[in-house]
Amino acid sequence: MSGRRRRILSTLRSLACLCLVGTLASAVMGEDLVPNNTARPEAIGAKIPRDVGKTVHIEPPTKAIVATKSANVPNADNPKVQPGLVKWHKDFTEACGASKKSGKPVLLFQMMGKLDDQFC
Amino acid sequence: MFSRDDVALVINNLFEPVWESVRAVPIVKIDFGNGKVITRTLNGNIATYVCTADGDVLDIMAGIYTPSQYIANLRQFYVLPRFVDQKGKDKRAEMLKIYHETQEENLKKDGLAALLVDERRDISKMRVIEKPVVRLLKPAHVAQSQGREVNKSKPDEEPPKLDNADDLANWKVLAEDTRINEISRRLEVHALLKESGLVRPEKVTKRLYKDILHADLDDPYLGLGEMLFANYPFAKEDRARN
Repeated sequence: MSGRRRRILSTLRSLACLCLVGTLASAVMGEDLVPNNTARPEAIGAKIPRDVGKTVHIEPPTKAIVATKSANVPNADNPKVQPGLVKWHKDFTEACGASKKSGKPVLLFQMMGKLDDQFC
Repeated sequence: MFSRDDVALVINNLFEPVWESVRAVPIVKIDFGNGKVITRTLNGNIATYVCTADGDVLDIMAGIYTPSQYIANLRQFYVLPRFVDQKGKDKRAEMLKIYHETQEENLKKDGLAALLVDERRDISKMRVIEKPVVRLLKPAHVAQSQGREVNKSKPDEEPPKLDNADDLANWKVLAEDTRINEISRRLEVHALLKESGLVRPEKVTKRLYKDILHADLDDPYLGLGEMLFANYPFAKEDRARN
């Protein structure tokens, strides 16, 4: 028998031994050997927590923020709109100049976002 | 608010108004992948300043208000420049400090702000007042002069007629926010402006938003970072990417 043939047979014997060991181990453990991909009987109907990382740790803060600290913006687009009925000056400097002439005080309204965005 | 006729009328008649954005408002979009997209804003907030023509900040309303309280405060804001300048512009800083100290004291003691009363309004046809005065009076004194009582326990504003239960609930939340803003936040604003003296808006904006409105404009995540990233497994990658 050639050396190469001996090596192939040796490898095949090793693999066969491993399969036998695995089979015996599975038999001891009671595993179903038929690869039919069915769930273990004791898992069906059992309430096992799923996606714990996501549902318990990762997502709740985001959900809480969206639920309690956000305002509803029904339209995903945010088109430009007239910023109410007030006659706004274009900037603070212009408003101060107008105030010097009219004698009226300046009213500065500050916000996050833009008053001429539909949703702000 | 600014689409209301009553609010717009007061602002257009009494002030030179201008609006500015202090930063973009955080927006959350949830795309459900089936064509449905929900878009919401997070952590937005507002502030209304009254300033002189020189750009000095005199007072600030921080946060949201019911329309009627907003208008009432605007009418006080309209009179405030005359109060601080009635002894001359060189005394403006001193008068402004008196105003904020008095308001702080009243709010701490009685839970009610003092009221600016423009005595020009009380001029009778038979009398000419050579030097009109704007006084800062306790609400009880103002009410007494007008023949009425001040009742702190009674809500200042009755809810408008709302058919929808959700609208009524939202109005009650707004009314409560207004009440808190009128007491706690106004107290903090008076303390801030008493300390800062005569300043332009940009000198107090960051402190106002950070300390009083609890939205640090220098924080890229507007205070939400810790809550969002604390247990997020890819937080480092996110921060590196951003």
